[in-house]
Amino acid sequence: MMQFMLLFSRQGKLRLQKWYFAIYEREKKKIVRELVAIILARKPKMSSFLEWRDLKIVYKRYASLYFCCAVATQDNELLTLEIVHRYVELLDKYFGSVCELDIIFNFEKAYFIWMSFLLGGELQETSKKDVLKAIEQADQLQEDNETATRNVLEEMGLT
Amino acid sequence: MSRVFGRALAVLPAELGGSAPGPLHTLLSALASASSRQEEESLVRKELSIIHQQLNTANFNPDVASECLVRLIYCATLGYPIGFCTIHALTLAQRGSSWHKRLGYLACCLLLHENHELLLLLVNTLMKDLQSGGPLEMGMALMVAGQLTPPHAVSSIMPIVIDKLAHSREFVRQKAVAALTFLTFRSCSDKSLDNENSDNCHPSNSYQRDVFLRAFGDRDPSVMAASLPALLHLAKRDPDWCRTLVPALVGVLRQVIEGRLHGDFSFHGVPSPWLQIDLLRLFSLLGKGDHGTSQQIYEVLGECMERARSKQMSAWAVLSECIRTLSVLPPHLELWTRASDFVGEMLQSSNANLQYMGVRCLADMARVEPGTVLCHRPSVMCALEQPDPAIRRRTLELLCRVVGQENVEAVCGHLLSALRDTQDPYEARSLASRTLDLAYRFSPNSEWLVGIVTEVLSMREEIIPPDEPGRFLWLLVKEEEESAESLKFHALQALMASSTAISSRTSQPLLRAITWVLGEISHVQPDLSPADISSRLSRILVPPASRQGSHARASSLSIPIETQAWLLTGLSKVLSRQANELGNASLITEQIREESKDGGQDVEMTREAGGGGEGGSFARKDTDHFLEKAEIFSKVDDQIKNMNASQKNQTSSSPEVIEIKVNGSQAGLSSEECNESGMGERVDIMGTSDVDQDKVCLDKYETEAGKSEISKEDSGTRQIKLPLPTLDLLSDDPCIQQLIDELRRLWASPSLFATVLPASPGCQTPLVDPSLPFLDGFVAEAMRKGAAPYIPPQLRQLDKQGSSYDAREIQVSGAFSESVGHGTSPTSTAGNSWAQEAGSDASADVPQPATRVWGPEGRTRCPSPARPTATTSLPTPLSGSESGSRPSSVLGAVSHEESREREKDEEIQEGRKKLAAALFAGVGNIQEHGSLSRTNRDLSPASESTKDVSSHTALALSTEEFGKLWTSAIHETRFAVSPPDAPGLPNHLPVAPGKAWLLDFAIQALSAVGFHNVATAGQELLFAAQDTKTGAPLLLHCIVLLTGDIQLCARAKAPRLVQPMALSVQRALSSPPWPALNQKS
Repeated sequence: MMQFMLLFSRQGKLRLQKWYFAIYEREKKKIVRELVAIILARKPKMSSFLEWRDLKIVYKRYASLYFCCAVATQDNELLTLEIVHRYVELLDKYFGSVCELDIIFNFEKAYFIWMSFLLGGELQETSKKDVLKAIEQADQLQEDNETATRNVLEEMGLT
Repeated sequence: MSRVFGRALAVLPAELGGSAPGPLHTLLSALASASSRQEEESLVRKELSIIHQQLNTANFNPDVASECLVRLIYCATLGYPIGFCTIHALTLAQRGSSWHKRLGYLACCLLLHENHELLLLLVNTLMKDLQSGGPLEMGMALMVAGQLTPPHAVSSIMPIVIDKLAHSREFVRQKAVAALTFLTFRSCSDKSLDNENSDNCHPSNSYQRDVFLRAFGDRDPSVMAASLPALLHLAKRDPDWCRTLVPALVGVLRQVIEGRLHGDFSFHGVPSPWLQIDLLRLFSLLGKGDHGTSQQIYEVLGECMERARSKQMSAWAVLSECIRTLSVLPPHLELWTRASDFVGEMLQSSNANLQYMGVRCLADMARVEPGTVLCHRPSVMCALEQPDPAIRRRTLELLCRVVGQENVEAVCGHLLSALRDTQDPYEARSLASRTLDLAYRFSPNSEWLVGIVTEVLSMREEIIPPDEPGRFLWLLVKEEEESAESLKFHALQALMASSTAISSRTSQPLLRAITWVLGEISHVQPDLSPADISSRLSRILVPPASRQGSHARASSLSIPIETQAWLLTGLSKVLSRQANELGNASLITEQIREESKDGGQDVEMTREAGGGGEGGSFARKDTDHFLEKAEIFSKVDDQIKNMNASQKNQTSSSPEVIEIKVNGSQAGLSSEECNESGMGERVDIMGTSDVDQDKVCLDKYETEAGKSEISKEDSGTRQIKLPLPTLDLLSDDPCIQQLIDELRRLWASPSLFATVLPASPGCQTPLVDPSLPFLDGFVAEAMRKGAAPYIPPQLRQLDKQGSSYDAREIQVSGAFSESVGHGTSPTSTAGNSWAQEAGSDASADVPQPATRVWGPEGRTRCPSPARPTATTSLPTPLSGSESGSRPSSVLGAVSHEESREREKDEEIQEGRKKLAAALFAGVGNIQEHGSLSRTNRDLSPASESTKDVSSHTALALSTEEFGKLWTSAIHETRFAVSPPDAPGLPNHLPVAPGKAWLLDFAIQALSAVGFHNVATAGQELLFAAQDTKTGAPLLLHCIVLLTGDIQLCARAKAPRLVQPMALSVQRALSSPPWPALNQKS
């Protein structure tokens, strides 16, 4: 089961975070700082896995973003890596070749996508189509100016 | 902020084509241009105050609120506290519609946690949306309900969520299953729930099972997949029930791997990898150690492995899960070979992730069959030299799995070098404990083991396992036979060596190990004199450099109090050895003096030793007389030679000289210069042996004493300087102060020292009489002055209940102990209860089998071998059929026999189950006052009505069965009873050893109230009975103490059974002796 997910840039700026257990803010910051330092220091040839405290950290770099998940030790590391990959694919499909800026400006969308396919720390096996359908359905309800922003970003072609 | 991002932001307003940029964009661009952390902080603070203002306006505008919340979430991500706004997230979720509601829920999920106090306000919103919202709202609410339902609201939310399992939309059903899984299994692990609540949602409840089974059987694959995490939880708790599902699960996996699900469910050509892996994990839980189930699984597992051959990472994920499942199931040769091939492929891959997984899978396989590693030896060696620390660490774990006697040194070497390299304290801790584990288990020789242990102990303190050095020292104590000697010898050698290099950085565990070893087992090396050791220890306690310095206090205080206590204890052990030698010497002189008295010679004491300090005293005796008794002197001489191996040149035949030597050596042992001066004096003494010896010797001794700082006290006690620093150099801690003070006082009189701490060559624990008779006088005094007699807490509880005979009971026992008070042991009850209090406190932490108990003669062995084994049958408690509310003892006994016949078949099964349940249920539970008082209330009317008929009947048991039951029953009450005096026996006699009449009395009195005497051994009695209502076994352990009291320990499996039993036992034992006994005595 997923314990927490962090998404940070190469500069170490935190973009998204989702915690699946109750934790103090102070402790959160400490963990983020520690993990960002460890992961950024690792060389690209190294494996994507880390043992950290009593958890296992699975991370992967996509362009300028690091996706980092903490799972329990008995979980399958490769599969967690695939969760990250799947998430990136969903983002890609939703935003249309996603980039860091998409996530910065529309982080709430990124959260929606993450939370709709990972409920309570367990991945919900659904067809990819369904996840996007649900998100888009919800988006229909959204105000026009919100959609406009998205369109603008898409037009900008920030890739 | 990246360069690209900055440029993009500059373009952004133009791209937006006139429309003003939103507040989030303004914030983002402002932050992007911030040049320093301080600037960013002030920007954010300003922004937060604006948001605060906007949100706190009177009229609620969902648009503004959503906009604000988005910015707030961003600020929260940056790490700024936004506690004030959480209430607005709740408001938005409650009052907004569609999009706003969704954002409100998102903000709740991100900003709140499941224990947040504001969640109470969310419950109504959730319930409303769940009951009357559209499918989209329902989906959102379910998503949040799973994460954020406060524990006390679970029972009200749960039924609504269960209703949603019948919803027409599959994504609602799916989310409902996920939410339900979370609610069910979280709330059951939540201890804060009261019983009622957790019963409702207990997963073994068949209703819950049905719910998840229904979800598992859903026609939509996504709903079915969502139910698997719940099944995993259920399989952990109740594998037997889940095994019935195996054929269905196998069917599902087959469908999945054959690609019969919709193409949308496959991920890069691998059909539903998540579903597959959940199923495989279920198989590993269910097939573990179960041949029947495994037979059903092997085939589909093989197919799954075969079909997972693809270059895709998710396929490798499935494959690795297959291998791990296989390593848990009973071995299957063909699959095993294939798995080994796959592992080889992973290990040789150029992808680091696959190498990592390969090592991990191999470690799983090696746990079952270490030989598998041999096929992949080259790859493993490669992995060990990988630059990636994660892979190296995994490989070390793998090596730990294949350690044996032969390779332990190599593996531990690797572990130690990894331990030296690592910076991560978590990793270091696990490596350290692993190294020690392996070393203890497989050590080829004691020298190597000691080396490893000292090396680990000398590392940073925070990485040393908390059970060290205790574990190592325990090994030194318990090891028997000849290996012990070499182990002790090497330990002493190694730690002596470390003791020379002690600095402020030395880890405390190492320091403690040194202290203990020097104090306890230094005798294995005969050339080490106690004086040398005590000086070493005191040098550790207060380093010599700081003895005179002004910073002495500070440097000694850098040693933690606990270690100071260790050091002082170690020192007291060494000093007690010295004192014992001294004590022996004085004993011998005493003997000589006696003999000289017999010879009609008059003996004159120069000094009167205070407090039995003969060791320091001098007896002036007629020299001529002693010359006549030369043979005795030579005997003495030999003894002293033995004691002081360092003084080889001992040839004297005069007792004075002997004494001086003893004392001189004593002084010498205290400090080096003293020793030298002592030697010098001795030469003089030898030279003057033909003159008036006693005078000369005494004078010499006194000069010597002056030189070597031997202090004389006014009390007349000749005290040799204690190798201890002055009090002010050490801690202010009262315990330390007390230790030092005790040590000083004991040192002042060596014979007392020898009595209090007798020299024990091994590591024997001194024997203690638990009745603490030495307190009797003190307590008697207090009671004479009007102090109330001690009542154990259990009885106090009963007293409060106000049950009529309880009160009388206490009065009786109180009065009794007072009446005895005029006789011999006035406070025995009080004293004993006190001891038992301490005993029961200790046993509350660790429920220990009663194999060894403290008896009046010290430690005695209980006749019942209390070994918990779940295989033999146990007598089944009576079923409810014959248990009436008015139990008659005769009828009870008869029907008990019948029922034993009738239920003989069920016995084995039942006994096993019960024992297993008892062994594992609620271990370590301590009786709580709340539950106790409740049960007492329930029981009191019944016990009232059956005042004269006991509520239990005899239970015939073998001693062995008793032992098993004893360990399985964990609820116990300890108490003591002072039985009435037997008529015809004088009051002051009870201290007579044996106390045979008391044993008889206890057996008869307890048999009369329905206890069966299982066994009698010495002063100990074992009794068993069974509750007439439930048939539950009741166990009783009695010890007849020398004081004439009976110490009792009553045990049962349920707390409510213990108290009535204790009461009836106490009543039986406090009543006047049995008539039969009367005749006997």
